[in-house]
Amino acid sequence: MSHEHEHEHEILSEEDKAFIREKFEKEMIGTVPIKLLVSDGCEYCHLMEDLLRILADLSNGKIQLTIEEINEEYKNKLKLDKGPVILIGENEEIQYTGSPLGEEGWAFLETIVLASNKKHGLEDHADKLKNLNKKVRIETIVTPSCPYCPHAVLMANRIAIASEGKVVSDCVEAYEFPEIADKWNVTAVPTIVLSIEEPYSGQVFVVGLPREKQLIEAVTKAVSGE
Amino acid sequence: MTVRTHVVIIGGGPAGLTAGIYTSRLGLDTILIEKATLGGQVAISPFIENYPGFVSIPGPELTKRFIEHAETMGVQIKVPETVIDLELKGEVKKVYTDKNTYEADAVIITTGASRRKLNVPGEKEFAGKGVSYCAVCDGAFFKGKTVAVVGGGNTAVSEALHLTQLVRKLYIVHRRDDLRAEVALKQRLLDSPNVVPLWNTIVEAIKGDTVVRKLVLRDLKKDEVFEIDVDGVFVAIGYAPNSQLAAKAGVLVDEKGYIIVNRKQETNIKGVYAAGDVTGGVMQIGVAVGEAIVAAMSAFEHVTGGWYAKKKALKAVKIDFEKLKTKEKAIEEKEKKSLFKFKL
Ligand SMILES: Cc1cc2nc3c(=O)[nH]c(=O)nc-3n(C[C@H](O)[C@H](O)[C@H](O)COP(=O)(O)OP(=O)(O)OC[C@H]3O[C@@H](n4cnc5c(N)ncnc54)[C@H](O)[C@@H]3O)c2cc1C
Repeated sequence: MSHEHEHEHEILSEEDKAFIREKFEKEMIGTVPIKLLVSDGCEYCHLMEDLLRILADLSNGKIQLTIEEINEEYKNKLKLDKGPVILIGENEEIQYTGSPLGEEGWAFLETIVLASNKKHGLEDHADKLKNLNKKVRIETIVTPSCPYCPHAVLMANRIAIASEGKVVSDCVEAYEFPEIADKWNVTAVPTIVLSIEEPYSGQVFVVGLPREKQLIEAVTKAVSGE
Repeated sequence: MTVRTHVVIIGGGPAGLTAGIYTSRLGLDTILIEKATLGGQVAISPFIENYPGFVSIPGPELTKRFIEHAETMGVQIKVPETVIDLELKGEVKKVYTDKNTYEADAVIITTGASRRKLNVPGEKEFAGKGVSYCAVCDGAFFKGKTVAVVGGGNTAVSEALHLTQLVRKLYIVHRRDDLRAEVALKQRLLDSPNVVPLWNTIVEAIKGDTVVRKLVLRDLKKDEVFEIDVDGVFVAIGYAPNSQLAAKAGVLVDEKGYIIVNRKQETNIKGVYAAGDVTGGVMQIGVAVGEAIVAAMSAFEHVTGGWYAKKKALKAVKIDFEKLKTKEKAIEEKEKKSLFKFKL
């Protein structure tokens, strides 16, 4: 059975496709690698597979899509054992744990464009991010019906791009990955968790949408241990 | 960066977006600044059943239509960007945000209102750990669980109605013995099988460990304190206007903090207007929209010196009707499509 045909019709209408094709044509400059990790019995993996194939197609080769089963290496690295997980960028600096549907849709498209251009678009304060001496993970926990969430995710994604590999931005969809939401006792979104990767330590930074400057400062402070 | 424009609108709820549609169509360069999400409170309203033309429409859907409309008319939208200071008294108004400075001939304040907090022990501690102020965003964390909605107005009841579809049991905690909400909403809620009203009751504290576990309540009639087990608390006990910045800049507000305006939506400062929930009164979308239209017209008069005496060179009002048509289609399509639709 071909999943592509099963969903294609409902994921994106012809008008949506035309809109996205034009957006990608106008705004994407370079190429961007996107990797989708899937697993057996995963509810949204097929949908994501179809969606990303369509987006890759609309990007006229600028999205370099690979789709693979989540292997042991990734399971250990990401501390996850199921999909869908989407990794964007040469350093896989942008991660979507769970599918970017609902309100997240528009910010996901925006992220693809930014990552292809390696342009973060932060207004200010971005220089500090290049010289971080530790790796930081920004986890933004979201639900598909939260209109504030995509703004928080886009902010974190911009920070990841600006950091040139030091910051990983991970958008976690709470319904598909309740174990992650539970780990941080999240019952309201967006919740932003900041973690230093080694030695591992993490904590909830804020519930709600921070200002750009606040989030950048929190990232630099997390590294300097202030 | 400093940007010069005709009009700055502060807040992107229904009032702000409407004001933008009007000032843009009147040919004024319009910048709208929104700190959180366009649509304001409508973006998080489960459904709207009293905005003419729509028997029932989800808040997020109405929001998308407002945004498309404002964008098509050429409003320059800055989101997320937060206004942090204002200088309004001079001829050129200055609006300082966390990112830029804007200079404008007129400012329209449509900053709306925020939920009032309960101000009880535990509320701060458990914010985001069981205490929530947005049922649309957070409702599904409580699937199959027990929650309490505190409040008895339209907001409380429409959020409670949304939650009844998800939770096992819902307490509605209200300090009076009847809901203040529209009858159409009230009856539906009280008829829901999983709803337990607790009348004449107020919250005294929120208790828990890593997350919320219990509410400490006081029965006002019996003057007794008792506890109920809950997994979540949704707070909807009323509103406080977002008028602090305006007041600091010299805009007069009433004793509750609502901005004082006249029938032209003028504040006490020339060239400064306010509309929507921030001015109090009947806090509804239709009212916000209507007041915003008046504010936009007044701002236009102020900037141009009237319809005939156009002091300033205004950009030609050019509306691309072809673009409009495709946008209209796109909106229709969006209702059907799933990428931007909710999974739940
Ligand atoms: C759950 C719920 C259900 C509702 N149901 C209905 C209904 O059925 N029918 C109805 O008519 N009305 C309903 N309402 C009320 C309606 O949503 C409001 O009356 C309306 O949104 C008011 O519009 P506004 O533009 O004045 O303010 P808001 O919608 O509050 O928008 C104000 C905006 O200003 C922004 N802002 C504030 N300060 C700043 C700053 N410093 N810088 C930048 N931006 C700022 C805020 O982020 C916000 O987005 C409901 C409200 C809620 C919460």
